[in-house]
Amino acid sequence: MSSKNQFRIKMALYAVVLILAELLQTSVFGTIGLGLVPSVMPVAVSCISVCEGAERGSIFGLAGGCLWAWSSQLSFYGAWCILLLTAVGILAGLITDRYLLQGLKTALSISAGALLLTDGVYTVYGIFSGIIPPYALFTVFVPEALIALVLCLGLYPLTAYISRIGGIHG
Amino acid sequence: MRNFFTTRIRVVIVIAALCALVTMGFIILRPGKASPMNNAVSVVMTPVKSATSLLVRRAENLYNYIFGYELLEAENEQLRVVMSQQNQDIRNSQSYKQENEHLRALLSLQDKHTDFVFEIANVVSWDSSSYGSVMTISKGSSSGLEAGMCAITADGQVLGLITETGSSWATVTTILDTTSEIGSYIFGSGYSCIAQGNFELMRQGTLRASYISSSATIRNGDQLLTSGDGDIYPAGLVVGTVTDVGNDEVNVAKYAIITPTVNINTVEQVFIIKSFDIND
Repeated sequence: MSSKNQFRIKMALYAVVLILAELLQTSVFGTIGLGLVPSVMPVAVSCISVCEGAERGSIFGLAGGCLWAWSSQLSFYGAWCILLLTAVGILAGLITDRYLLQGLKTALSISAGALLLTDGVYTVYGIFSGIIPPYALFTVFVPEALIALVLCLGLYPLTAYISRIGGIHG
Repeated sequence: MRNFFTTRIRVVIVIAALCALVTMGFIILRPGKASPMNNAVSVVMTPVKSATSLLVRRAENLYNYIFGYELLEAENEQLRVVMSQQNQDIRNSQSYKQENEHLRALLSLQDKHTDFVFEIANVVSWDSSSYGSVMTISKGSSSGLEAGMCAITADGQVLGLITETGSSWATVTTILDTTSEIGSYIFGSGYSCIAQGNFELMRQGTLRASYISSSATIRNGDQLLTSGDGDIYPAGLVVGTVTDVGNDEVNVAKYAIITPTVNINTVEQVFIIKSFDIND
């Protein structure tokens, strides 16, 4: 198989990972009535960016943000997520390229940071504006972040496997 | 750091900023209407989400069948006892007969509200947040649905309002959402109130009826119906039943905890009222 085709397959598989993350958020956790809906998209973007570096990470961050924001009701939070996930993609790539080694620990750390920037900021904003009671930080945000990080344990090996198609970094 | 921001990364940042701006623009300029981006994503994602939700429900049913059989059996037995008790009450209590007839009449919505024009839709998915109660349904503007239309169950239980429509989908913000407010009254006594969503109660599947007169006599089991004030919700639809009563924080009015007659979080099919007569 030519390297161009391998590259296309790799990009398509990453797109599938983003769609899987969206489905996990809405159709799986939204349906099973657990009462908690973890944000899987920041974790998926972090994992892809750790494997692919800043340039491709930024593209998948943008794609993930748009998918997240545009697949349900438009909101300012969705617009914020487009910018934020793009930034997560770039920063994850930068950190992995320059400061940390590619690996599960790095993916977990960056995912935790991404969750703090997305759900964490939203929860704190909700608390200060009186929409969300303060205890939600511990009863909703923390358990959701933990579930998302547990999912990272499955998502990172998957993205790492995809990244090997056609050699590291394409 | 300067080398790090390559031309490609700068282009992606500009595109991201534009996407965010366009999203905010649509929210401000076209509230309640889906953007072309929404429609494009939903055309692809809605069938996939529907199929995934169906699979998840099947898997959940299978799980419950395998692991929750004894639990279901015990619950079934308990429900039988409750039902038998209720049947006994109905037989013995003549005074409840009239009220029961009224409640039964409410159930046959189509007969009672001949002015209602319905559209049936399935629940495709739930919003990806624990801080709100928003569902996506399988029909949209191509079926004549618009923002502001009311969603109910077959039993006449109010579910919420359509807040955004795409061509083949729409989002319904349920009455449990923190943004929800419904003009209501207590059936029988006639006391008016506002049924409001509340974060804490939303997670328990209930809502709060506020601003009830401090002299009102409210009992657990009383029904709360929509008043039709504001012409958003048709009058006489069921909001839920009173399950708890108390005085508000400043002791000037009463409040009641309202439990909808169905578990809103597990609803699979909804009826959208496309039009109804407004009573002057």
